[in-house]
Amino acid sequence: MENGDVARGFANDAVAGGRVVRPSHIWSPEVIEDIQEKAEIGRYRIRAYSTLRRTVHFQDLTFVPCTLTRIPLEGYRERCETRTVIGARHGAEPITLQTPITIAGMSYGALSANAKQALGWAASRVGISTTTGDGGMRPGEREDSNTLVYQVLPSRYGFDPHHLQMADAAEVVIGQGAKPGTGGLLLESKMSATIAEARTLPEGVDQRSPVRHPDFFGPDDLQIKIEELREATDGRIPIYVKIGACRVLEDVKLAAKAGADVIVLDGLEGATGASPEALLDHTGIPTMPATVLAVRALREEGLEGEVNLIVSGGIRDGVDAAKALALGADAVSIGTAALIALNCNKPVHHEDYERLGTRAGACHHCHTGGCPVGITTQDPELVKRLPPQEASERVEHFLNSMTMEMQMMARACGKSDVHDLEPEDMRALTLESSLVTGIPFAGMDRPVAL
Amino acid sequence: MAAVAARQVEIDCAGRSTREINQQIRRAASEGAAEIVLLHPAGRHNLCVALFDPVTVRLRGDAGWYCGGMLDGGTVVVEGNAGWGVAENTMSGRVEVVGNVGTGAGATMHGGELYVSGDAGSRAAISLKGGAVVVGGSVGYMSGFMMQRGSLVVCGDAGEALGDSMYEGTIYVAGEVASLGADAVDAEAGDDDLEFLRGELERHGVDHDPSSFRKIVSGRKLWNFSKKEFEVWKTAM
Repeated sequence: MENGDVARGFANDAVAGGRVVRPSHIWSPEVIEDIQEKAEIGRYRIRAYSTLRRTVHFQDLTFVPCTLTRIPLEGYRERCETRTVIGARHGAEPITLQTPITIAGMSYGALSANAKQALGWAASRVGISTTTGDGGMRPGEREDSNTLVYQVLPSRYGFDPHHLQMADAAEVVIGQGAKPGTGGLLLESKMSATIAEARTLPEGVDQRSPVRHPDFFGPDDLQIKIEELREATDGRIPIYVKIGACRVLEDVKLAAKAGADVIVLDGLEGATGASPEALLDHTGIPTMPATVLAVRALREEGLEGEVNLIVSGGIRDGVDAAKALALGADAVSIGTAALIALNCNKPVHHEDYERLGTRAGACHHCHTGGCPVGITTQDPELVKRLPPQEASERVEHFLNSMTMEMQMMARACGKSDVHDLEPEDMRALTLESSLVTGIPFAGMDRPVAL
Repeated sequence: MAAVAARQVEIDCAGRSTREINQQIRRAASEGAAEIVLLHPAGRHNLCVALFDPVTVRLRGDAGWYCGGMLDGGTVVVEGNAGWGVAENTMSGRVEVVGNVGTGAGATMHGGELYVSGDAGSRAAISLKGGAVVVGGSVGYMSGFMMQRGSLVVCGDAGEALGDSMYEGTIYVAGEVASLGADAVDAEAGDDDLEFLRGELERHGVDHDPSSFRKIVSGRKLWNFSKKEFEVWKTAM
């Protein structure tokens, strides 16, 4: 038998020298490339964005709108409330969001000034909040954003109590979904003189932020820290606690006990500007099951509705957001989706994507500082590619589309408030999603249970 | 709240909430008080937090956590011990503790000064971004961890991993150092160092020979990753 006979009928890329190639599932081309890359660079691989893995996700749920058993609202006409008030637990001035979306904490340093400005302007026009990041409050950030959440991060880079007092809420960051249990990372290429000075760091260093806070460790300590922040702000602003989704049931209870007004829960799909790849792919649990656990935790403590819940990580549109609300979240937070609305991964400047070793649509190279569309860079020439006014309009439009999608789902399910969506409005499309949410698998009248 | 003398105010902490005490401190300061005396602080947390007025607050007793935290411009004197995070994130001003303090003393200070006459716990001057932390006694492990700028002066001994992963800044130790942390290295003290130390010691009335201090700075090997220096990085990554 000739080699050509063996190979007959197989695609060209499965054939070499006339024989069928048999790649290993263990030692796949990706694994081989990974090992050889590490053999070259001598450390873990670093990249941006979130995990590349398929995880159990909101897309595994479907809404079951009204038919004969329930009466829908007019999809394009009837009023459907989106206004969301959070943070009133301890008598602070609550945060009012015109739609249950927030812009997640992303630093000036990870993002360009134009990107931060565009996000602030868009959020202000839509009536939602933005969040500072490592490095503190960028000059002008307070003016750019009508509702601004000030992060209290382990590094305290640029932390200024005057800025804390100017903020509308404070967010104590315990961790993030992309890399829970580790600190921030900003590589040399983005550590410009301006960014370095804002963080009191030498220009051009690889900034590896601490993960532990310098002045507290555990939940009992956190309670005193939260009280300190209340003293510093005279109790005027709500205190959020952000955690990466790990032992969610316990962590949410502990954060609530420590005094959080709002818990921000960031799932495995959460993204970041730079991270060891191993952390992106192998730490944390996905946002959807994390949401279920967080709601259960608050319910078990009798704090549902009193401690507000914002979930983030992999929220791509208003439908994902509506599903998160239906599972019990008060609001969602977006980061990557907002950056994509800014222009991230847009098929322009192809040569610059190629120079980074990638292409539009698959770029996760924010860590390089060479962002072809001017979002995650400190290169003045690249930043010019993101005029903030135009960019903010795109984000504004996207946020409005999210609101409309949430309302569309709610109205179809007969709800006049997006917060009235509930698990019963959904069915699971996969056994996994049914198991983790307790929502019946499509075609069954009860949840899949072990 | 009682005015004891012109521009001096006494506040009895007993029976008052922390919020009430801090509000009264700010009110008295804004009304021109030069010195505010806190009676019976009783180890209470979060006293004198985010005090921005150029006033002196004197605590007649022990303070709890975060005393003088986020200070900007004022002076806080604790006539007793203080808990964790004393003077944390101070921007400017001065905190003095006539006693011992817990962990994280002067954490992330951007400026100003913390003086502790006794000992400090672990992680003194952690992530220090400016200013000076002067400890009359000894400091615990991981002091000066990830220090960025400023100075830590230790007149006694220092625990393990001193100055681990420092970016910049300077640590001076008169006594024994249990061990240096990753990338912390000895450096020769120059005239500027001796002058700085002499000034600090005189100001706090500490009797020490400036030339007896060991100077420790960043070796700068952790500033940027190098695969050729894995022996340093394997403990720091």
